Amino acid sequence: MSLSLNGLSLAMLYFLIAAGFSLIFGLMSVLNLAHASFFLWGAYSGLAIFTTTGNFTLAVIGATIVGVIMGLLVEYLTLRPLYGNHLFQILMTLGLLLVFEELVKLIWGTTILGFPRPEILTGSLVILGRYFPVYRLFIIIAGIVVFIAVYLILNRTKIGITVRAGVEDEGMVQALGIDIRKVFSGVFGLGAGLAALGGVIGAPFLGVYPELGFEMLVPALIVVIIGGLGSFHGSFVGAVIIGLSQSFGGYFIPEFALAINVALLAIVLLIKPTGLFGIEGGH
Amino acid sequence: MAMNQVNLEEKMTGIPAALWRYKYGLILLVLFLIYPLVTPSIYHLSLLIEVFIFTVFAISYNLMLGYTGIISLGHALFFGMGGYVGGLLMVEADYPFLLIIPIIVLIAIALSVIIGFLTLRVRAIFFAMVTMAIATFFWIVAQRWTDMTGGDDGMGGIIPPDLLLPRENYYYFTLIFMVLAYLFFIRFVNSPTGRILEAIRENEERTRHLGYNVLNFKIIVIVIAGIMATLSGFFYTLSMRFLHPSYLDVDTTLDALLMTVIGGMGTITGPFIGAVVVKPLEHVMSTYTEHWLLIFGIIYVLIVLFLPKGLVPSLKDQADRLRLLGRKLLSKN
Repeated sequence: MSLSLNGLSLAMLYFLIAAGFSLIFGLMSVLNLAHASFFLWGAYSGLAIFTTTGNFTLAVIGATIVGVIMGLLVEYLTLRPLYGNHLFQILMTLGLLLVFEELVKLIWGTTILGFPRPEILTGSLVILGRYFPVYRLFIIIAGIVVFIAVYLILNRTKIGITVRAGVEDEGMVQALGIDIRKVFSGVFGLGAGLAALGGVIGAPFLGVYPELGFEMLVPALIVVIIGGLGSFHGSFVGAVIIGLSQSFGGYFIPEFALAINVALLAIVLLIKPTGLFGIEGGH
Repeated sequence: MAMNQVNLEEKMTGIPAALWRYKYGLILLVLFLIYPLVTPSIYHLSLLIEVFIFTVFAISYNLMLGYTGIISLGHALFFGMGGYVGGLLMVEADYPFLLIIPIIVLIAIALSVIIGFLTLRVRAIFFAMVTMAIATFFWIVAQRWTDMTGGDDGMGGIIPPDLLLPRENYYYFTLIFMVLAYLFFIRFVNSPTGRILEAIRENEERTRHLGYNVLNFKIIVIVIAGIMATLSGFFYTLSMRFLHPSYLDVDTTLDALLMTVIGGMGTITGPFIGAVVVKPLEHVMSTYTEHWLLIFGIIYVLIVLFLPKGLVPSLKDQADRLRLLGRKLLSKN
């Protein structure tokens, strides 16, 4: 039980990275490796705000805003000149991943920093005679709330319809008189914000260190391939699968938790190469 | 002067023409051959050994990225695999050097065929993502399986065979390795297969409709690239006499990528120029600042953004433009 709780909280963090990652790919065909940097910077900026103000809510909001701003800047300054050239976009985002990690080392050093849990979220709840660590429940609830909120935005609002239409057929959206570039920027900012939110709420659970971004990137890659590139709910399902398998696999054979995920990846690629909820065809 | 050159090139055929075309390469080769006789500095020899080995590693990357348009984010996987499998077979199992080479080559072939078949069937992008995932997986195994690999402390005692033990001999050995790789590389990209690869890079859809089996050609390329990277990794390990998980990490892949991008993607000279620029610069910069990777990253991002043809080809373009301008001015006078 505690294992699945652990797995689910990990899954929510994967989901927060993978969701934006997958949407950005689906919409603009950009494999944004720098997406993991938003998670990393969310964790560090959240920690910086928390240590100066002592207010966890402020840290969460502040880190998310930092993520959104970073996302908008990355999209506007480095990716916009390269639209239409997928190869160079990947090369660019890989470089950015490195630069953002090295910047973290320059500013905060390389040691692992602790992120104290806010007092309200420490301790355990007793439900039906079992103990549940409050912080993990908090991460799971936050992940589910974000999932429902973004799901509703995507499915029930005009903006959401535009975004989904953009994933299906970018040219048609433009032909209908919508400036797709604004939609691109918006989704990029939103995705980056989600990743940064994952970073700040994951920090008390994972610790804060420069390699955190890269370490989250690889499971996120696996999650989006399993869930189907470009699919929002696919990334949620993929994240739950990978989070749980990592947690259970890690419990029985700690060294090879990632091996199970790589094996899962191979099976999905073999049986259903487009992922569980992937769109056929595409790039 | 320029006119004379053109005439000369037109007159020559066969071997002399080929020799003339690669005159700079040959001059460089002669210099490298006599270099150890001039200065016996172990440090400089070691640096050049590293340049030679990384040139081959960069050639393998250039074949994929520059000539076929396949992007791998985990090419270190092969580099590190060659190092670890080769090194461990040598130390733990006492396998002879000449037996290890075919073993790691076979593993490289198997690994690239499996990864290629799983990913390239669907979307090119999956190859990038999956290579990154698998390279990271091996990286973590190398770090955590401490009984076998020594973990983060690395593992020493990987001694080359007696013949290659002196530094000068190892220098010549890796020089030959690079020359052979280059000969193959030039031959290969100018072969009919090489042309089809460029066609795939330029327009994959059209190449497929012309009746070529794109998947097979891509798998051929990643197999060749995998073999070259594996051998470079093994020879690098022998040169360092040391194994470390960093051979498998993303910085090693970035090394190959950086060299390809700086030297110019899809060019013959690119890998060597890239290795000659990057490796010594890394050594120099790492003695001055621990944040040299940040500087490298920024340079890399700026090159991708502003000089997509590569640093050296772009500089060459500028030089050509200046030369043309100069000639125009002269002819006016």
